[in-house]
Amino acid sequence: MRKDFFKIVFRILISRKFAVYLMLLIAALLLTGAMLPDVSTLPAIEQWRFKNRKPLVYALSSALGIGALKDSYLFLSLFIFLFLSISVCTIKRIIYHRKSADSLDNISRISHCYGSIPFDNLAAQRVMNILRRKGWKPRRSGIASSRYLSGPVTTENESPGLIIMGNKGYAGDWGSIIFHVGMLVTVIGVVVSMMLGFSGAFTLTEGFESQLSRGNLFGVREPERFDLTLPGTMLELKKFEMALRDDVHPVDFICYMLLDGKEEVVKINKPVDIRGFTLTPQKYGFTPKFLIKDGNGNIILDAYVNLEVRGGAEDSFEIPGANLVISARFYPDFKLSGAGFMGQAEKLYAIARNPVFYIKVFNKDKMIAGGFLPKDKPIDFGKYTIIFNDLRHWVYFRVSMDSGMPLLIAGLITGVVGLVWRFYFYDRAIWIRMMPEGIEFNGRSKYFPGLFKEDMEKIIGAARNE
Amino acid sequence: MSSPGLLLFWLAVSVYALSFIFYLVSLVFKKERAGVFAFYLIGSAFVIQTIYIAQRWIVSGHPPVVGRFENSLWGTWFVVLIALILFFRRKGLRSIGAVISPFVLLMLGNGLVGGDLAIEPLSPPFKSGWLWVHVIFAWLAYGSYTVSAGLAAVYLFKRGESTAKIVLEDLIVKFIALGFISHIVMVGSGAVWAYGLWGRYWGWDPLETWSLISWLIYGLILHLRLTIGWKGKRIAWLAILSLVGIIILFWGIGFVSKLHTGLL
Repeated sequence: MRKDFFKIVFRILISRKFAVYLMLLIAALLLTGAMLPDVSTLPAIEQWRFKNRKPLVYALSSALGIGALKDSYLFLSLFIFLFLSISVCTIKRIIYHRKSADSLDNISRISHCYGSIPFDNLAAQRVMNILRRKGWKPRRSGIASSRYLSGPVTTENESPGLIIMGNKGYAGDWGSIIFHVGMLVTVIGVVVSMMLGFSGAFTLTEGFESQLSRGNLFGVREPERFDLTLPGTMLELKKFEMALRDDVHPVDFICYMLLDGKEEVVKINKPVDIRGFTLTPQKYGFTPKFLIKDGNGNIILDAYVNLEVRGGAEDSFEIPGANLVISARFYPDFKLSGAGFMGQAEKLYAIARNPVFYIKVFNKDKMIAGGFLPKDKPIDFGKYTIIFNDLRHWVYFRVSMDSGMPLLIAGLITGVVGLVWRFYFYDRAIWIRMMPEGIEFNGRSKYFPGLFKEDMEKIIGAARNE
Repeated sequence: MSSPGLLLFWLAVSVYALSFIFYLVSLVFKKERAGVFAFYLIGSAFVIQTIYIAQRWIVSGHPPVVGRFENSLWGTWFVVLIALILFFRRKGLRSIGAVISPFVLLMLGNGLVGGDLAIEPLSPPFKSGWLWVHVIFAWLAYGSYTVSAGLAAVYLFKRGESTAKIVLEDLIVKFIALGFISHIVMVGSGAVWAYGLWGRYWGWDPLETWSLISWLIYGLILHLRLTIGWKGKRIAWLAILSLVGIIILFWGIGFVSKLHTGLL
């Protein structure tokens, strides 16, 4: 019973149709997932709205959207089956390839006659030359030709009965095997990434330092069963610089850092490696320093606040003890215009030449004051006085380590090599029979019969005309 | 920045349009000379497009890879380049220009509708050596898939059975294979680039997902043709329908979201 079960499983896995169905199913699932909104990327409030407005689409998206699908057991099990199917089919291919030692073995059974030309005494040498010129490896066959020919043959060259055989691209099947091995290595790389990959993030403000340790990271994704030790390097963001062309187009983002006291420049596309962990800058923002005093002159806040206010966005922060929420909109290059206070809030990339905030002060959800706050100038907002006396940048860094990456790349390179091999060398065989009534050109090609026919016609034409 | 040489661009568009008209004349009225002329027009339009791209490249200091307009410009250039190489090798297949020229016009139109024609400097995420590998192989894949669909359209138009049709079928599969290989290089180089840029090689953003879907679909076609033995009209239709996935991948996603989920 158990033996039968394994036999059936093996038969299914070895079936090429099964591999095709699996690929089709994976593609169909991905297609469905790509069409549906990815709810996992929506903020909680948007998710709630979406759920109430379109409950059916929400339910579908939660189950089959890319965010849900990629982590689902269904998807994982399909990939496991695909992996097994590729493995078994590859092993089968290797065994089959080793068994059929020569592509000419079964030529007489499946070859096709492409044409013939009249016989002459010099034809054999001529045909041999043409075949060599066209990249074939021709060989004459006399006695051995009885394997391929049922009729009488002689061993004399240039004589009726001689057979010239040649083949090309027999090793092409190895290309397919190499490609599939490459795909297996790629899948292993992906699994290693999923199981052993580490990623986390932290935000660093200019002039501040932080240790690269687990406690200082957020959004950590790490292997469950393997305890990774973070390097514990002290990181300091000395300065963040943004270079703009024409005051609009960003051309460089540069982080001047100290890593355990050693100077390092980290840029976009130029991450830094810290003992196997890659540090990449991902986004930046502005960090104003606010000094807020209440009506009695007591300082209720004196701190740098990281805000996401680029491109005219509004951000807010809370001062819990005072029941206050401060909302801020940023004008990095503020100018008064006839139309009002326009500044440069709408620009995503802007250098803060004349920074001004538009502040709203809320007490228990009720706005109590609002107005512009230029740098170094105390402004009263109701009973509160706010001074904005410094402006820095913050940079959001991602820390990652991915042991699957080398495997993934090795797998893809192997796959490409295998495919190029596979399509450049494909199995073709030629079998030319010299007979008194004419020279017959036979051949077969495993793939691309039309192109092979063209090749054969060229060979026949050359043999006729030369 | 400004957008220099637009006259050249419009000239190229006009010549592509003319070539399409001549192809139509050739097909409808069976005028062979019109077809030959249409082929020369496509070649001329390609030369003009090349000059425009070179001029734009010199002014901007980077290849045309920023924004929808530049992508349409370079993408269609690759499509025509691959088609022209095919035309020179196989004169009998020049009729696929009747499919290629309207396709190029549509793609350029798409770039014009959704894109900014002004030249912009290369933003920091694009400043990577991997950009070259990633983009060139992306367009090579795109061009190969498009030409395979063009060949498939010609295949479907041809009546009866002939060697020419079998050759066409072989070429459809060969171009799909070329696209498929280029697709892997594109994905691989993109993965390496993304790791240095975002700290992860795959993020399931819409472009990555569609790229995987279309790669799987083309892989499926190759399997159906080479291992299961599908051929003829079925393969031709699959080549045409799969191009839809590629069109969504390269042109559709930009309408609904940012191409990749870049952060800075």
